[in-house]
Amino acid sequence: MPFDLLKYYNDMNKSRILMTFKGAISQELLVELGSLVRNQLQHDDKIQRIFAVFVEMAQNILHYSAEKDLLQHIGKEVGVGVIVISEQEEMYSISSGNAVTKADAERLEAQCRHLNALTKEELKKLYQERRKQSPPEGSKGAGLGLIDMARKSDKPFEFSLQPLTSDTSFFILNVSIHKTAK
Amino acid sequence: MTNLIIAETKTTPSINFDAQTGVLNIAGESYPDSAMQFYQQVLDWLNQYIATTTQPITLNFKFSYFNTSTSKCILDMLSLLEAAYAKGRVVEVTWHYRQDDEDMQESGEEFAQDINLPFSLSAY
Repeated sequence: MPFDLLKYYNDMNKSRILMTFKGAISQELLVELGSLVRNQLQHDDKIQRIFAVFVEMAQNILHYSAEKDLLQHIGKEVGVGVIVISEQEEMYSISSGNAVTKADAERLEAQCRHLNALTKEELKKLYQERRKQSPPEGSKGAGLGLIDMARKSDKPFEFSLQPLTSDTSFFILNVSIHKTAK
Repeated sequence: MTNLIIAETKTTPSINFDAQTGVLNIAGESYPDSAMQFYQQVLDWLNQYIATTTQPITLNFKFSYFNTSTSKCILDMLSLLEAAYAKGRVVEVTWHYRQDDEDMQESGEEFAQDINLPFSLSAY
């Protein structure tokens, strides 16, 4: 058998995967996946935060993944990556993975380390300061996504960068959100 | 000036700017592919309205969700109003949030801190 679907099924069960997608993420797909996430988690009052982190991650992949796919039906090039939302006893994990250039990898690593060292109050300040400035070069948004995710995460970012090809790395970012009220 | 009316979509809010009354309403969700592209028309209208009319401006935000690039565009709108207010224009901003949505309340409080404008928060 080319692909062990039973193992995949069991692994997903064991890891309590609520939503997963690997592939080209267009804006249209992001909206559909977002509705799915909202439907599945509507019972939890953290749904807004989980949805917000999901959107920032998906739009990061869409705009910044170093792996691109040309979607013929919309005539647009979009980023490729993977997003997983899973459930543990007390936490939801929202994780994304995608290819980044070596230059972006260094920048991302430094930025994640920096954000992890800040308190919630310092993150809030940084967010407000950054929002007043013009967006960083090459940014299609406001350069605020990572800071916002750090503010919403109930634990420091878990992140890793591993070599993928000769000029790209695979960037994994995990954000944890408590199930129960703050 | 003509009104600016844009219907709500899944990822963009409804825009209802009434040139006669000066009441500007923005409501819904905002996470378009490019927030800057979407909000450019809103900023252009607002700029022209400020430059060519004199009546008081009442801006109502009623977001249920917005992403970080939208956040930047909201601040851009508020900055235009702030400059008009500094020159004597009567401006009032109200930030509406669902009463159990603490994050949305906090977002409003942060905009209020960032901007020198009559700015009130209202729970619904």
